[in-house]
Amino acid sequence: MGLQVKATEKKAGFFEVSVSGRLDTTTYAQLEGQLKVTLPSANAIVLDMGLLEYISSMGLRVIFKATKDMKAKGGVFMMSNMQPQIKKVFEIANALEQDSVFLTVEEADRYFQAMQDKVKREQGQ
Amino acid sequence: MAEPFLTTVSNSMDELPGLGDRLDAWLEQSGAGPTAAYALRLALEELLTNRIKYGFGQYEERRLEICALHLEDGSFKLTISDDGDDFDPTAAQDPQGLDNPVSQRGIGGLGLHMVKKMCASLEHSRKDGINTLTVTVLDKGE
Repeated sequence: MGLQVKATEKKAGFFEVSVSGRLDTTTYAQLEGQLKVTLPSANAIVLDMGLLEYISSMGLRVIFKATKDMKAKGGVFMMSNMQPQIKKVFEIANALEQDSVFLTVEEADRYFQAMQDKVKREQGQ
Repeated sequence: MAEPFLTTVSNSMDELPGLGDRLDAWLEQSGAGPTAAYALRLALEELLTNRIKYGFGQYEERRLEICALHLEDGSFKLTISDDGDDFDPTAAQDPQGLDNPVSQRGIGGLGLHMVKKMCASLEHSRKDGINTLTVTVLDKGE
């Protein structure tokens, strides 16, 4: 079983990238390639992991890199729908951060929206 | 107890998908719980990657022997043996900066850390020119 990656622009600048299967040494380049394409036009990316069954250190590497790259350009990288085995891996890596891990894509969307509204209010004042 | 899992592969990452699928099938036959199965599959990938990276010259085609056993006490033992260069991954330092936010730390070096955390033990030995990496994984059925 390999990895399937699908990217959808849910609304302007807000992308959902869903992964299913295995994110490992032999498949990580597929996600890396997709993120390279998506990143330049994204303010927010939610990586939906609902159908992800396995992740290894190479998978974490791609995700951490995207987290850093998005932050560097003032955007956010979020994750949703982590299955228990996947969550455990992030726990071990001490990478379950409150402002990047959400139960659903919708929850991540609401968080991102609230953050943007906050920025707008602050800029308005 | 299922028959031991025993196979050899060449030192190429192209072997990993097929090898992993065969180990998965054996683990299912052995009745391994999902947590134990995950740990063994992760150990296989991370340790094999480590051996291929550090154990062989760049263009040498060599063989590695992979063996998995389901022990009487319900635990699993996975060994990877080869006649490549000596390298002890258990002596490698733990990754630095894990207390920092993801955006402020390095992105690599987590493979062995994860294996050490998810498996009950990780050992390295060298005897008569043969390197052996051994992990044991407890199976609580969950």
